[in-house]
Amino acid sequence: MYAVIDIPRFALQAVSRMEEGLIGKPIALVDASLAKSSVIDCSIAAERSGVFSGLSLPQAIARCPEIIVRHQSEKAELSAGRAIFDYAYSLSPQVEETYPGVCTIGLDGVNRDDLGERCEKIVSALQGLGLKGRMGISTTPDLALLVARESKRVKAIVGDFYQGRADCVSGVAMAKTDPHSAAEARNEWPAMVAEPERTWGAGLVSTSQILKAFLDSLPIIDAEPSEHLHSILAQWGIHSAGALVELSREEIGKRLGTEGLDFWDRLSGRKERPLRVSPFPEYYIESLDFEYEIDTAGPLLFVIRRFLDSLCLRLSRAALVAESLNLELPLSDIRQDDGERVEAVRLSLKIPDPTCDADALFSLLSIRLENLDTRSAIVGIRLEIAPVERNENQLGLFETSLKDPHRFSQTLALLAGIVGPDNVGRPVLEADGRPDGVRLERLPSTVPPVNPAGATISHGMALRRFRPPLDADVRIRDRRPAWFRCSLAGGTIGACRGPWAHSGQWWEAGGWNRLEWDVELNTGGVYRLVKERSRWMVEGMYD
Amino acid sequence: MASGYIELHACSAFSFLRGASQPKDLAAAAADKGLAAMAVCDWGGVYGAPRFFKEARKRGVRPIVGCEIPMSDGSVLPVLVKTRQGYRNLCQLLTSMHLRSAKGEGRVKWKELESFSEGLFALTGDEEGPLCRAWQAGGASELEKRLRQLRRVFSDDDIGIEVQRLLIRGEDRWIGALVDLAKSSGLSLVATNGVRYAEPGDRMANDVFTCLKEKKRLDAAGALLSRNAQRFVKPVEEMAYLFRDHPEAIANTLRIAERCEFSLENLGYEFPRFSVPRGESMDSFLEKIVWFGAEQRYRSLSPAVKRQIRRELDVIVKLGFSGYFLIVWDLVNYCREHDIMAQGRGSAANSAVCYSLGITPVDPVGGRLLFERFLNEERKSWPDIDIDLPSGDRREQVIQEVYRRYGRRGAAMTANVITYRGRSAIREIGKVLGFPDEVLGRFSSLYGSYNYSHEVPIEEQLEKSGIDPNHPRVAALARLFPRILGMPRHLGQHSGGMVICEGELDSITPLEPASMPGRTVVQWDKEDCEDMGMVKVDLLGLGMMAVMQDAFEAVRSKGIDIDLASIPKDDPATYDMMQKADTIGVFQIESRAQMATLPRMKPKEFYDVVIEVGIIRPGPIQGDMVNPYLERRAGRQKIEYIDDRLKPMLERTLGVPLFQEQILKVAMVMADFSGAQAEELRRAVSSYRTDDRIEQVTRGLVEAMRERQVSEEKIEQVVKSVSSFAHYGFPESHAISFGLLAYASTYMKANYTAEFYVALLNNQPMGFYTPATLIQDAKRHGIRVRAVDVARSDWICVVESEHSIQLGLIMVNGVSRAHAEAMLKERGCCSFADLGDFRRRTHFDRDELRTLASIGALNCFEKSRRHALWSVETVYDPGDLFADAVAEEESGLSPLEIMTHVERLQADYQGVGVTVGAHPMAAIRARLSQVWTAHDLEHTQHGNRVKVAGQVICRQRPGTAKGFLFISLEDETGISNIVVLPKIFERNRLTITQEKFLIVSGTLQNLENVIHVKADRIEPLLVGDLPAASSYDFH
Repeated sequence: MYAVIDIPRFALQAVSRMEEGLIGKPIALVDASLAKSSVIDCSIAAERSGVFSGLSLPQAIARCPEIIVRHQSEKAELSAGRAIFDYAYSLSPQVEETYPGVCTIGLDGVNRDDLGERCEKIVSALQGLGLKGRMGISTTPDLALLVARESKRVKAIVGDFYQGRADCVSGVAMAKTDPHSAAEARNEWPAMVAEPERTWGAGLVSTSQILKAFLDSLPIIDAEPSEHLHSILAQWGIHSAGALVELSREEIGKRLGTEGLDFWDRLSGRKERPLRVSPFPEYYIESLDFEYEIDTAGPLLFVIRRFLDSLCLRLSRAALVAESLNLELPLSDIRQDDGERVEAVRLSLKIPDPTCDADALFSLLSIRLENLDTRSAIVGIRLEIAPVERNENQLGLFETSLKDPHRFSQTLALLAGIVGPDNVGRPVLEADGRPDGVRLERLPSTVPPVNPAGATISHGMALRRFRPPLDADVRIRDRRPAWFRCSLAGGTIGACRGPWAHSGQWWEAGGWNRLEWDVELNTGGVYRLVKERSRWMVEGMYD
Repeated sequence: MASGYIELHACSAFSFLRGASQPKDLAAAAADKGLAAMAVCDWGGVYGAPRFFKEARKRGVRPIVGCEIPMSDGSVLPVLVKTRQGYRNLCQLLTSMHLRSAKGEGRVKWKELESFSEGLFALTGDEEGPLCRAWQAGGASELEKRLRQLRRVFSDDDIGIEVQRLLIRGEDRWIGALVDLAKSSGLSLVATNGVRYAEPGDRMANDVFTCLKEKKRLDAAGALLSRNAQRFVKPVEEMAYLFRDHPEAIANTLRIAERCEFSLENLGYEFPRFSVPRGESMDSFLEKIVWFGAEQRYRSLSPAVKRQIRRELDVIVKLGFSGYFLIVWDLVNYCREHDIMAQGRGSAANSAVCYSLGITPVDPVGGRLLFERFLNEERKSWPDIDIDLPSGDRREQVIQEVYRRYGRRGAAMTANVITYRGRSAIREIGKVLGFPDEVLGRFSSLYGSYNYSHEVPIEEQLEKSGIDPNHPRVAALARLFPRILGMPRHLGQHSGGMVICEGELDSITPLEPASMPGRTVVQWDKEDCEDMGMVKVDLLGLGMMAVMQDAFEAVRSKGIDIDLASIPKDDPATYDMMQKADTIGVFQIESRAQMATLPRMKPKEFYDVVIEVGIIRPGPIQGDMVNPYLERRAGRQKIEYIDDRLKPMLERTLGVPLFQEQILKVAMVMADFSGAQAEELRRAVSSYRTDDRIEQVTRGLVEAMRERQVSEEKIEQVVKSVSSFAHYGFPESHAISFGLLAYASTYMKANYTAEFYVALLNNQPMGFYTPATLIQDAKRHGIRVRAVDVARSDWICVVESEHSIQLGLIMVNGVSRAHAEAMLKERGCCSFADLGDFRRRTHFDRDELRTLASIGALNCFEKSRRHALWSVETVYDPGDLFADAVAEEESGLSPLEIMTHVERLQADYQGVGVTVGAHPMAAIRARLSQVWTAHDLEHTQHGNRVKVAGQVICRQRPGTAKGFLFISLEDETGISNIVVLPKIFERNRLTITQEKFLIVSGTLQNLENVIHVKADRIEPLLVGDLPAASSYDFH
């Protein structure tokens, strides 16, 4: 017997669960990498306005002007997929990651007495993580998936359909004697209760009608035939699994070959396949690229909470606890106000008492983030937990990570926390030659070799920059500066070279457009004079 | 030594992503900045040379031809053309380079350059030049080595050490190296500014182009972008100041410019000579065949005809154009001999000689057409004869014949300069600025595809496309958009313009391979070719010519002799059809605007059709001439003339000037314009390129009229007429040629309806309407359209009877022609007994069989489509002796349900793109309460509120309609015409442009039998799985 967790509209749910307040709203999911956007998936609210998958985005907006457009996110799907896996693993270690949003669980050896209850808890827990799913239980993996897709929360249909014998239970639990489930099943399957062939448990019916009704109501597309097979079946007018199973298996084999037979067997419950069991993941990382830049703490904490819930669940499954947290927040505008460059904010948090309590970890992180000023918006998040076995002792107070070269980068992140992220790294000149254009790059893992100097490269004198540049009064004669004065120096200019015109980044605020001169005072000293708009400045002094 | 400075190294936007100003803007800047001459050196060609030449001459700047030659070592060598031989060498060198390489990847080898260096002057180039690259790679020693290489190719007199001072920190070291090199080698030091754009503000566009070239975003381009905006056209004084330490570098520019004697005026182009019979000259032979042809055409030659032909021949001989007429005559003969319908169009229709030679089908004497519009003694340029040919293979056959006759390097297609339009401009600029593709795609969907200049400012358009107005880069996007619009993007080939040459065309202009195999293309577009005095013959493919040829052949097969010239011009059924605007599928007069005019125009004779064709054009519409004409025609307005002297030429159009010829005559009468002046006026009003030309000619016209004491009121009227024709003027001769096709196609529709539709369906795609709409229209004309059927269909659609046509296998998607023809051959031997027999004797694969079954083409063997679909899926084994017996046993056993109406529709649209059954709207009619059908509208009173629904088959927003939008909605009874006010359109833009089915509420307007619904509410009609044919939008 098998159980399947199925998250419908998985890609959409994976994205929308990361943002507060999206549930219930019309949302369209698009692939950002395509030039001509079309809707990949949409919410039920959007469907009500006539939006459907495959519709072009402009057409979707035409039909539903208030629609919220979001991009498909591989990372968000990965995160949601892991959460599903973790819950599936709580039922049995035989878990297959069948498709994105679908996990199949082998139930051999699993106690079936409280199976329904446990499934119900899983569905609720997933809902708590923002993933509204359903579960199906049946005799083959494929049927379990189909049952799940027909289920509202948890449904079980167990039996050999091909023989026309179905032990069917529909409801919250496989409660053979549970009148509550029976009543719910009646609500769900009223037609089948009308003419029972055989009663089972508290009056719930197990009949060939149930089987037929189930397959008849199952759209053939939900059984995921190949595109080729689906097009043939569509031309035949076969739109439900029931209609296909009613056709003779032999005739199907004649016409659709092994692929058709295989499909027929799958739908009729004749075919059982081995599960491709996935190992329990031993990494504890969650990450997400935000579609829209985040500049307030609310949405960030919302996502962190989601991540911690998933990660802590995984830790507990593996009987581990969190020893430290590494949080990375990539920034949108890597230039800060003062011209320095920072690609991301990185925080490292050592947990004083290792735990897998999501509340405790969340509380620690949120305190740490309270005073965080990133200066520019956050465009993504990566949260990693370093696990440790529950009984392992914490490192001593004076045992620094310097002992471990692999922790070098972590140390740098810690340093950044102390001296500020702007002051760690190695300086690199900006390629566009912007004034004082230097950014800090992360230190490479190895020291790169020094390039031999080219024949034409001239380094000239070193410029000692005044930061900020000093305002200056300048007098011009014959189109050249003849005299200047600033707070540090001044006098008549004896020699002058330039001007050099320099402009760039005209496409947004922060561009520059200036003229530069190198001037030598009669009294000595070589300076760089700069005129930007109508302002004169002394930018530095040459050594 | 004379003072001044000449810019010897400039690139225009025709260097494609390496320059950011149009040639005319460079010329204007050169004139403004006091440069006496300037050289444009486009990358890999002389693409911008004609335009620069023309504008520079106009502005008193001497244009020098140059080119940046891409070298095999990755450097770029700028060369200037000194002599005619130099130009010839350059063109041939570039041709060889282009023809052996993929587009844009040609490079010249240094060794190869040696054979072509005569007559060229080499500059050493900028940072991409051979010297700079050598210096960067290996310093002084490498520099000298490369100079030695250059000296092996060019003499010392023909090399200039190029030095640029672009105010970039550190450049002095390189300049110093160049100065030392010039001194040590004894070569001239030459200052240039390496111009890439006319004004500093164009630097932004140049940076964008750099990013596009390098496929980088602006943020990531870094050192690839220019350091400043100094590469513009600088004034003489500025350059002199910059090089005050090396005045000889400035002076040398003058010396070099003086040595560049060559001008595009002396291209050396000659039209090919026609070989005539022994003892004949081209003139005498032309005269002979013209008189012979005239007797055939006119039967008896009236004195007027004789006078006209004599006059024309005298002009042709005097201008030396006899060879041209003979060559065109020969080409038309080739078409005739190979059963290819050919018809001369354009101003050639004004010539009795062309008529006599069989080039044009319209008698200009009878039609009182103005010969001067075609040719006059003072005209400098070659006559322009356009030949319409059936589109497709037949036209390609004629084009290849021209190549065969004149050689691969003796003939070529003219280029078509593809420019940045709304969609491409926003996409490319947005891309480099880092906007997401999705947002740019949305802009394109909303604003990218109209020929209408939006009233909404660009900032608002961007906002409506979902771009945040506060986005930090929106301002740059909005600033760049108008700068890049209209800039050349790449070179395509003109649809039919060919230039031919006596001798080698590649010594006149470089040739490049066209994207179509077997074709070459010159580097200039048709107007540039014309400006350079080159003769072009337009071999234009016209879908309707193919339709007419096929329809005539079908009618002739019934024993009825018919062709374009012999169709009676007084057929009442034809005029009746036009008056009812029943013109779907016919030539020219099938558009919404034409159909809205026909019931008011009520054509009664052929010339009315000519006017109908000519009147719905931007020129007359913008000049407010349509309504006055129609009002006068209806007798509601008095017929008046600007001047009594104009009565003879405006009488036929009731005093309203509608055609270019009339404008020319008005100018000749009112301003006493000479033939040459009239020709200049003609070129100005028919040019698509610039407003300057029309302004200049209009000024001359006004001055001339004032000199002749014409009243200001009349001057104003004349100027208004002329201005309205600017860019969009339509010549009468053109209207006559088109009118003839319009009349002939309506005649065929009215009299040989089945043949007409069959020809139309066999030549799709063409015209305004899809096959689905054409079939619905055919059905409304009593034609039974039979679905594709393997027992009856041919490859093409065929006429079965006067009222029945059979669709051909050509219409079925995915069916191979070879398989279909093999089946037809087999069927010709013996008809198929059953499906098994059919499968055994044909080669259709399973997919083809499935398609045929789904559209009902196998229903001749099976009870229904589903039966056929069930049957074709069985594996057929030709070696199985009992296969037939089993098949027989199994037939009739399909367990599948028969298709519903909607399923049949879906299968039809998927398999054939059309349905011969009921229109998709019929399937949902029952649920459309309170919705009128198109047919109902004809019986509804003017002013009533109505609601209509249907499939959108056409959306039009012509530039002349002041923002109004026209939608055609098709239902099972016909077509409803919707008019949408600009504000309603803006409010419902997405719904209107995106939805395939619409419900429109509004007020019915029925004036003079022209029926419209003026929309005030537009909603999508949600139709579920109902299929829809594609629509014809914004063309």
